[in-house]
Amino acid sequence: MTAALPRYARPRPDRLLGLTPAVWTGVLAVLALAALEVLARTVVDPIDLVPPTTMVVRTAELLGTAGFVTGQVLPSLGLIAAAFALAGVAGVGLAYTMWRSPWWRLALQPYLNVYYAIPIFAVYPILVVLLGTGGVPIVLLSAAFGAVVVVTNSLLGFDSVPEPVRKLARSRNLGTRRYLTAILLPAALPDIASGLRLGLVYATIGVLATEFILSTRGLGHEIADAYHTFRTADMYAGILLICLLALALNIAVGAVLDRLDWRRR
Amino acid sequence: MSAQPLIRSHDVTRRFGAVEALGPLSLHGARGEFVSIVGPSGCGKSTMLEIVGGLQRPDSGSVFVAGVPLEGPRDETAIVFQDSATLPWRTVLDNVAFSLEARGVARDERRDIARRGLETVGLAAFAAHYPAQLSGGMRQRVALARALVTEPDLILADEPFGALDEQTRLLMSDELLAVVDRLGCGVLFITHSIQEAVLLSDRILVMSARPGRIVDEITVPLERPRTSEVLSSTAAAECVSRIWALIRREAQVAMQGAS
Amino acid sequence: MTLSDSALADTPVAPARPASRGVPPPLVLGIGLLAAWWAIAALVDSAVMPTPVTAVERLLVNLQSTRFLDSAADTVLRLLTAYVGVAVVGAVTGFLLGLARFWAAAVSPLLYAVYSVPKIVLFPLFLLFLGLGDASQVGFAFFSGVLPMVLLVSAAAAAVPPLPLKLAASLRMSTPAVITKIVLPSILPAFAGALRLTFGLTFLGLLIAEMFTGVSGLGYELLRNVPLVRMGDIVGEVVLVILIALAPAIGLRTLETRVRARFGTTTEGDGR
Ligand SMILES: Nc1ncnc2c1ncn2[C@@H]1O[C@H](COP(=O)(O)OP(=O)(O)OP(=O)(O)O)[C@@H](O)[C@H]1O
Ligand SMILES: [Mg+2]
Repeated sequence: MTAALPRYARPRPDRLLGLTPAVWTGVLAVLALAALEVLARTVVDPIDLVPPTTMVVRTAELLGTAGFVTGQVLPSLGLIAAAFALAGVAGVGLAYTMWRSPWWRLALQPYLNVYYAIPIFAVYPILVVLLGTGGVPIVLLSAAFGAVVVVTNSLLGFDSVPEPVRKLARSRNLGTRRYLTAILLPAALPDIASGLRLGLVYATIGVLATEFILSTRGLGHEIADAYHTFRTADMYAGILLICLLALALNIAVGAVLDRLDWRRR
Repeated sequence: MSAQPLIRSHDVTRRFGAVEALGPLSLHGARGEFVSIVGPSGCGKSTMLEIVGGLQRPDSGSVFVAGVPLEGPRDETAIVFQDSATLPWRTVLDNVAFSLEARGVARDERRDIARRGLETVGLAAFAAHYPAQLSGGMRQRVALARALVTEPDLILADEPFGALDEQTRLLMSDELLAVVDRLGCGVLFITHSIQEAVLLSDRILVMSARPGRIVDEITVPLERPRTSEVLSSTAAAECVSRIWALIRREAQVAMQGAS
Repeated sequence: MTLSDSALADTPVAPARPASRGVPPPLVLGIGLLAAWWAIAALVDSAVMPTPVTAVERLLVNLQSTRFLDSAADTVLRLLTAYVGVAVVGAVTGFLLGLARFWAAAVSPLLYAVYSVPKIVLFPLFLLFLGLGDASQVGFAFFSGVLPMVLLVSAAAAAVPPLPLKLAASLRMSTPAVITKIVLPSILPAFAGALRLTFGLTFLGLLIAEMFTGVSGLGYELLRNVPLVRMGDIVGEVVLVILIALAPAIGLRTLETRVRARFGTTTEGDGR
């Protein structure tokens, strides 16, 4: 009495129709774009949906405009960089203080646990009233948005020093500073790196969202403005540009942070 | 010994991508016969076991179980996997009852049978525990009990005692021998321990380094039924040293291949 | 583009800490922060910086106006609709995708790419196609939460450990039985984690949508008071938003901890 092996216990097929999953990913992406293109050129009103090819052309045009790059793109990138730096420094620093003081950690932990369940952007109006619509409230809010994910990951890293290594360090009488530089930071580095990676994503979201909601310039503002003034082609071009920038930023910073991660070597 | 062949495989091979994992390998086992396989790590023992269990298909060669060409898993075969494969969200009792549940045995009945199975492996007191509360060795005994309660005619066991300490290992071996004698089932048993193989088996197959083939076959000159006490006999000791001499070379080849 | 669980999971559930005697530290910290806020507000003594009492007073006053109550009710209703959608649609889609392991591997990178785009800039598209009303706001809130739900659940369904599946195959279990007895229990922890994570994302998406659209809802109320410099009202509303988020957040966290304790510990791999 035997029956063929059921599907659920068979290993995942390597290929389908001779193509690997990665190739299928590409195929699906191209198909989706093509469908958009056809849709935009036939069924949907071209005012509402701009064909992807037109988006690309318009993005290139905008990037050729000096005012656009210096007036919108660079300010946004600057704010993202500032928010990311602040989130990174504050996040790792806060995590270190929490690691040093158990009381402090106990006190903060529940707040960190629910932090991302609370829509922090609710605070943005407060910052705007206090500090105006400039870059400062944007950086502060975006840094606050990104810092906590850095904190939790860094803590994970600080906690990851294996017990035997801790014992070894104690037996060698390493001082606090030597312990920090020789053991704690190197051990925590991979986790800190992945925290920073996420921190960058969060900081980017923070900057674009706050610009989008209420500000006077920047890429997020530009998209909101294009929407309000019915410049749909510009709006789509801006969205495409942001997608590309976010992707490039993630890949670039990810590559740098990967070099810090000894676990991947 | 081989009145009726229970397992018969002929020139079985298996490869994973570019890696030739197994064979060609031929073996046979009779009803009521206890056959052990020893061989260096990575030589394809688990792969062969899963092929006989119907969980993998050989790339070439044939496998017959109970006279029928094997297409997939069969009801009367019970497998004990190398890792214990307990389900963490079920109690120990319900883990053992799981194999009966899959057969559609009613709840109260399967729990009764499972309780008896747990007594066999000495875990009756842990019926209500969850696997995470048990040691690795205890979990492996749960998996063994789960295999035994279906009253199989063929048991395939992949290093079931690998995680046990020496004393428990000997006690469990005695239990297993008793159960196997009672059920009269055939056993294909993988182990790293030569001593364990000698204690349990009627026949021991020695596999080569990857791709694994049978390089030697030893009939154990010890009477059944037996208990762990036979290990202190000279016959057993001689058998152990003979097998060690045989697989020493294969183990060295495997270690060099791995580095 | 790498797809990893950790990239989606912001706050890993921390191991339980021993309870300390005396006043709980979080309470001390909370009271300390409140006192600091009070002290600063009292020192500055300007209309721009309300004390906690003023903020709560303004909130209570606002809660008596029907318009504000309607706004709050709108927000809660939209949040609920979107979140139920995220939980149901996201989990079912993710589950089915995960069962088709090949397609999970092919589609996940695309979903992950969309997920990693700052979604807020896509909000105008919702307005264009769904109009200015509830549909676009609920739609965007749903969109903010659904992708991580799909990604986490499908990754978990595709990664059910092979050994229990082999065990099931050796017992010749039917596919439906394998799904209910093995696959579903093993993805429950990931599902509980995704429920917690996506709640915050859904609420965030909704609030931003409301801030931008300016028709009704708490997001709209917040922004409406900015040009009027009504700080007491703004802070009072922030307090309300936090209160609305807090109860589900704590509940979902407890749920996750329980589910992980019951279904999470995998005992595979140490029988060697
Ligand atoms: N699913 C798989 N995919 C790719 N290679 C595999 C797979 N399963 C086994 N192998 C390879 O086949 C060879 C034999 O594996 P197998 O698990 O059968 O060895 P083994 O003799 O059981 O080893 P051990 O004693 O360590 O358990 C190994 O080299 C292994 O790397
Ligand atoms: Mg093996």
